[in-house]
Amino acid sequence: MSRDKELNKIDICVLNKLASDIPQGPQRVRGIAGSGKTRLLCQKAAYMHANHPDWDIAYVFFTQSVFQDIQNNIERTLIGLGKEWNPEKLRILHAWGSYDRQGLYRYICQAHGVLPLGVKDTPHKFAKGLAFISNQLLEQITIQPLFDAILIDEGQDMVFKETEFHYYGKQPIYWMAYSALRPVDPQNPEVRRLIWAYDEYQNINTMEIPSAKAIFGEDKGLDKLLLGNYKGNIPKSIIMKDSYRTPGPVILAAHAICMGMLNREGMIAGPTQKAEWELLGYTVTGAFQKNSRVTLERPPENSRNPLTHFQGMPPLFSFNLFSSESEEYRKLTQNIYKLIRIQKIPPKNHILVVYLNKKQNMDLLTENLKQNGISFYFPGESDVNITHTSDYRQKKPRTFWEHDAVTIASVNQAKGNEADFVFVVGLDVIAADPMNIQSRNSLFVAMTRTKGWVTLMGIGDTTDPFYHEIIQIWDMLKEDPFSLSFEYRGKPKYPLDVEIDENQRHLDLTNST
Amino acid sequence: MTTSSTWIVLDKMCYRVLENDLPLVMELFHKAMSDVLNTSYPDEEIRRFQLPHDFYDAALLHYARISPSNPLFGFYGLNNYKEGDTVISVDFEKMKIHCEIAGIPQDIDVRRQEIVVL
Repeated sequence: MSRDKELNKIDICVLNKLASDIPQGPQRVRGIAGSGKTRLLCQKAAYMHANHPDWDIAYVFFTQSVFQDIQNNIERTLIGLGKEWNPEKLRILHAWGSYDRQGLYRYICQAHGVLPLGVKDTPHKFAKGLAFISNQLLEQITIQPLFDAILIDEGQDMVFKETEFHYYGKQPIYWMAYSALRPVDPQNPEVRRLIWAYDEYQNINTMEIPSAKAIFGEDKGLDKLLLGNYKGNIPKSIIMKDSYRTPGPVILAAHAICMGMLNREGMIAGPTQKAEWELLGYTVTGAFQKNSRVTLERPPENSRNPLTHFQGMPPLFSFNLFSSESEEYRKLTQNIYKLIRIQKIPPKNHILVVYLNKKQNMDLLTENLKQNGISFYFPGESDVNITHTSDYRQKKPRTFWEHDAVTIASVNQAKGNEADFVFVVGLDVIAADPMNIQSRNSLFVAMTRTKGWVTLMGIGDTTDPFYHEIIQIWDMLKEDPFSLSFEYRGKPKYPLDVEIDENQRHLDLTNST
Repeated sequence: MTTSSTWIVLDKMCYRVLENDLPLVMELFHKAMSDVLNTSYPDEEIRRFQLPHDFYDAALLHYARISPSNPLFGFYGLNNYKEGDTVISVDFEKMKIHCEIAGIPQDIDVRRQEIVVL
């Protein structure tokens, strides 16, 4: 069955129930890469709009290039429901906005007669910049309610551990959105319909998790807003453990590398409880006790992409090391040439290069591609084979693919996008600082863009501990593509037992009442 | 009458060779071997891992020059070879290519796996 047919089946059979459950307050959607969080959120927004056409609803996103996908998903659901889209009532808003495009922050500023700030007004980049100016806005005015529901996609990118970005212990972007919401019930003004989706392993800013406590702080019991169910058994927290995009062995490899399971000094980040692993779609053999052997299995049924069963050449997950950049990009060009010219794979939507290093490192690659008559596209630039568009008015921030061209993207740009063949270059960046969890998460994001094959490429040799980790993972997956074993050496630097933390608060709450 | 097939063993998996001209296939594989012999690797471990893939890619590229619209190999790693098939194996330690006409050689370690048809 083709992937699209699989996804259509999900539309009808699985996601509809969750999408048509309209929560009476906040709701969190936690899901692994490729589990369909964006789809679910789009369907939810569409259902709410169809059933409550008088509501003001905002769908908020951060990566510019996913706009079209969101629009298509919402449109498709509304057509299925036989309803018209009123763009004045259901808005798709970038979290920030720009001079020519509306955004949540910008919309709130304008509604309150405040001049919105831009990227040049903050010393910080990307979402951190937005957190910085959201904080200023919250200090400046009392935000009046403007929406009945706000849905935040890619929620992990809008939380920060550094207290300098916090607004009285709260995450400012979330708090700004929450403040712009009308209470669901006037008797309980703190209960508002803020819905956010996230994957903690795709967080490339911090290891902070968008839990109720992190978002709302600990005031007035707001940190307990996600406990239990709403009326009608509507869950306050949804967990999606099945991946529809990325084949099982690649998900397993990506989790293993990102968590540093095979790291010489022990695992760096990740769950330390069996129950938490099960929520990610794994079965565990062994105990999370110091110096114990743990085996993780990802049953194929938790990875719906049929390629999960593929064993052939090239392998779904492979790794190449080189002595120099020129060798790395020569080999990459050769691989791309083989796909396009021999295997007749059209590059658009199918072949993606994600770089972990700097864009200027790509000059060697683009030269090689040009020499072989292969077109490339850098997302947001004005056209194919252009590395820098000097006139910003000609830039295309929402374009990720161009006709007949291989897309070469940074991790930030690649988020939310996908391709059949993904090449991740510049692994040496992680090898130089292997304990940096944000870099490892970047690699996780890059790897999980694939709907099929992923090849990792870097410079160095296998005496490097990070590369040695990857070699071990590759070796294990060759023998058994569905399981990995590692030595648990003790609590990781970043233990991520999300549900256990929430449940613990649930227990505390139960005991105190 | 059943016709015999040609296979190549790489990374413990058998790939069907779709070109019927065996001398041409052997010539391609020798050229591919010559290419990988000239490839430098950062170390022995990564060489061991990459050689089968690089050999496969090099053979593909050589074949594409002769027959650009036909694939050289079957896509999936399978193990449904039978007695009488030609099995080509590559010894990456000694950098030698073996060709056996009478079935799979005993000393080749081929992973037994379930065949999944997609």
